[in-house]
Amino acid sequence: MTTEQGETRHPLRRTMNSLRRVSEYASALIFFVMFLCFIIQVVGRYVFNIPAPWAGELALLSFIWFVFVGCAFVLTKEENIRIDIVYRMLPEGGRRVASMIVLVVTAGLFAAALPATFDYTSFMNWQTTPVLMIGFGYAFSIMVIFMAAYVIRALVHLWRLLRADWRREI
Amino acid sequence: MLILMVVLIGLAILGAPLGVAMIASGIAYLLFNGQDVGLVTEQVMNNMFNSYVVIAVPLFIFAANIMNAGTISDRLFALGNAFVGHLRGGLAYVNVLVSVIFAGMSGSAIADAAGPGMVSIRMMTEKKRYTPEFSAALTASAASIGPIVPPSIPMILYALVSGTSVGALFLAGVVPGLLMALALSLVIFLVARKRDFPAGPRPSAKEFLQVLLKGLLPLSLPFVLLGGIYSGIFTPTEAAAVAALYALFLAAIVYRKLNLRDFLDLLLVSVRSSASVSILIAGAFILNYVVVIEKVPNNIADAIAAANLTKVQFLIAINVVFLILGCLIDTTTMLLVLVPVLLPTVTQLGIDPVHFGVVVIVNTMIGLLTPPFGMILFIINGLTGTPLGGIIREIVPFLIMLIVVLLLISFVPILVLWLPQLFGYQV
Repeated sequence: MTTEQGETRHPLRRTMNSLRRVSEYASALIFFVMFLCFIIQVVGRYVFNIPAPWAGELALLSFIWFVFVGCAFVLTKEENIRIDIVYRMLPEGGRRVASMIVLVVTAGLFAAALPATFDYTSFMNWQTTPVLMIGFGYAFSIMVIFMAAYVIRALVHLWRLLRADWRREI
Repeated sequence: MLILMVVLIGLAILGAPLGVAMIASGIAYLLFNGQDVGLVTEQVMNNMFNSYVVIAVPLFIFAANIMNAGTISDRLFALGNAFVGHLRGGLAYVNVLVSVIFAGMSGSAIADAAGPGMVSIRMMTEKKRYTPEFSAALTASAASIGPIVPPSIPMILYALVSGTSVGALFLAGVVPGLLMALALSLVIFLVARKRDFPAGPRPSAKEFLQVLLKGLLPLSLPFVLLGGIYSGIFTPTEAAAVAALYALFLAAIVYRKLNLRDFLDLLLVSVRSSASVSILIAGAFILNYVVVIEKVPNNIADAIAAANLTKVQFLIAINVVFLILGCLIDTTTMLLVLVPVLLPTVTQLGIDPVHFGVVVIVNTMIGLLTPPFGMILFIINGLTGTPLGGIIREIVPFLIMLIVVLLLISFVPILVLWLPQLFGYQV
């Protein structure tokens, strides 16, 4: 975790930090639910002879949610899997430019995809998951959240790269 | 197709997170071709919702984290030491043995390197019995056995994209995994004589029994897992949850090495590493959709058929290409992106997909040990501070032997397929 002394008092920074903390615990909780669902399934089937199809479905939904919540709010740039051979060879200025190109292109594409993604997920509510009867639109809405969060984070990051102290961001 | 390649490769080279780069290039492709961009979400979400088996990946990561925190690795090391510690170069053999046992409960080379691997390095370098470079190189090589001996995260990913049975793949990895262990032991044997490595004391019968008793519970886990899978009590996915539960039981209740705070930390660490792997899986779904729409696999199959490549030539070509790519790209990406492109060719040439899977996975594990992008090397370098140059120098003989094993299993398919066939797998 990067603790930037002096800036932690900034209200925006503080909100971002607590948001990250909350999503960290939320994703850990979802992960734990996923784990429990599996245990319930195995124990239900073999110990009590009661199949628990709802647990299987909940496990799948939790899987999807923790992955995208994790990627949207928890993972830092360094924790993502990336090929950084070229990036690490670049001088500081080059890294700044490379990061900016990546952010502009990816955030641009994600932003362009947002309306259609929103349409698709809201349309999908006509169908529900087989056991828990949750609308697929709600289940899949995490993709909209993920994309929107990515765009916002990318914009914040871009803005920091444009400022005078950009060296701290590469 | 060109737009997809340009955006994907461009973003990847500039250091974008790969999962994001895959999704972004999918969006670019759909936009460019005037298709509905909602397809991205449809492909990613529907496929993930139908990929029950993939959930094993985060659960195995979780299980391995618990085992490593709960001193299970230390106990296994003591156990291995009681068995082979008294040989010349004993601790080095212990290192390999522990890796094989740990491989039977975890599915990832990285977990193997970071858990039992660190215990082994600590023991080997204590009192300067072995150089840090040799210890690190051996540990890295031994960690590559992790995903070959079942269970295995890469095999689950391969099963996902190829439609082969996880059970058959798991069985297929047993013999190759043991061959790798033998190959590494051979190197140890030769180096031990040349450098006159020390032997540990032979344990008395009483000590031996004590260590055995202590190690019995963790040692039983591989048998519980594989027995459970093959008797049909649980699926390979559920086995991952069972492994985590068993490890949790040992660590928290039997050994009392885990409190609530530690547990929460373990959850958080597991979320981070599994989210970063799983987003690649999500990205691969959209990428594979485009690749199939564009008939890339069929075109490659046709091109290879036109070139009249034989089975053997194809396997050599694949091994060379994958070894080179393995130096640059990470395993998950290779399995999720390249394998689907090649599978039609594989079946057309009459290569069994389970055999091919094991060959490719052993190959990518060797890729984890080769510079410049050798994930295991980085991890061990990061955790021990042993300079990369030294590790790389010492790893060469191990690498050569692992490549020999790779060639052996490539061209003698029965080594891979014998065990699954014994359990009823139809080639």
